[in-house]
Amino acid sequence: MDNRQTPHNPLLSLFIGESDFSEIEGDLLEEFNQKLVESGPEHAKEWYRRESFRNVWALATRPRTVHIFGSTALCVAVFRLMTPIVFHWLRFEFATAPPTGIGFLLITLFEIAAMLLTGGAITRVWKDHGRLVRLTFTCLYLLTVARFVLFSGISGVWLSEPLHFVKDQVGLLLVITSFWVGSRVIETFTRPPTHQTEAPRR
Amino acid sequence: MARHQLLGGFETLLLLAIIRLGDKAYGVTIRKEVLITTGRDIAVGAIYTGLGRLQRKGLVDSWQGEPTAERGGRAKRFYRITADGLEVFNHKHRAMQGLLDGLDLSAEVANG
Repeated sequence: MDNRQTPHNPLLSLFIGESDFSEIEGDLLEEFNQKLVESGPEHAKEWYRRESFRNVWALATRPRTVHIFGSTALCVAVFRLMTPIVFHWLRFEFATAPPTGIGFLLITLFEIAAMLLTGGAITRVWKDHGRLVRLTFTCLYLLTVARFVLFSGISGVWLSEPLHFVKDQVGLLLVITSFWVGSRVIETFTRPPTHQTEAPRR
Repeated sequence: MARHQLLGGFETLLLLAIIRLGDKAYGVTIRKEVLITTGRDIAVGAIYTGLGRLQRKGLVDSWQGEPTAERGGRAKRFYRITADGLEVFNHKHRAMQGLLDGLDLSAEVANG
């Protein structure tokens, strides 16, 4: 088979952790190659595009995947609720301290530690689905931030205080990066050895 | 008791397709068999979701074939019905026939 003609849908590869992913991908390629011979490359590629998106939907609506989305959403919600509480507690604790930036440093450290742990823990729970967990977390987190920006009036503060804007963007980047790092570290350490003989499915 | 297991409509379709295909039942052929016989174009991912459910219930069994070039080096997974699967299917079939016995569906429709 000509590698230039081999189709690929990056969304489908999010579900690489599914036990039957290899069979699904193989079946799609087999039918794609049959269509290539029967109806030509344009029709085959169109068929593959449509079919791979249908399969993304089929895999995304599996109970296990829905649980992954749910638990990741819960992580985002807990973190978004916890951060202001810690932030206010720190402001209270450091109310009389001179403004040395230690509060910002502590909140940043809290965010990094919390996200490293969360990313690692949830990837440990949903073994082999790290890619899906990370993408779900990033999308949901950015959505909650977008909602906050739209409805809290923070954009006005950012315009008047550019340093505040920079701090918030750094914080956002650190949260997402820490989650990815925690998740990737656990994924690397818990990855099963390659060339393993397949366990029976029963 | 295997016969008391519930079998959904989609699962019944999959079991029938596996029985019809014999030792050639894998994702692509099952999908095509369902498409030809029922007209339902089901995504192969949904077929495997159903097959996984049947396998967890012990109604079908699977084994892996050899990897092939046209599948990009990926192996096929073949399915066959188990003795429990056949028993559950026959039980459901008999139950359906028992319920249908003595019914004139065309008359029922005409009577409203």
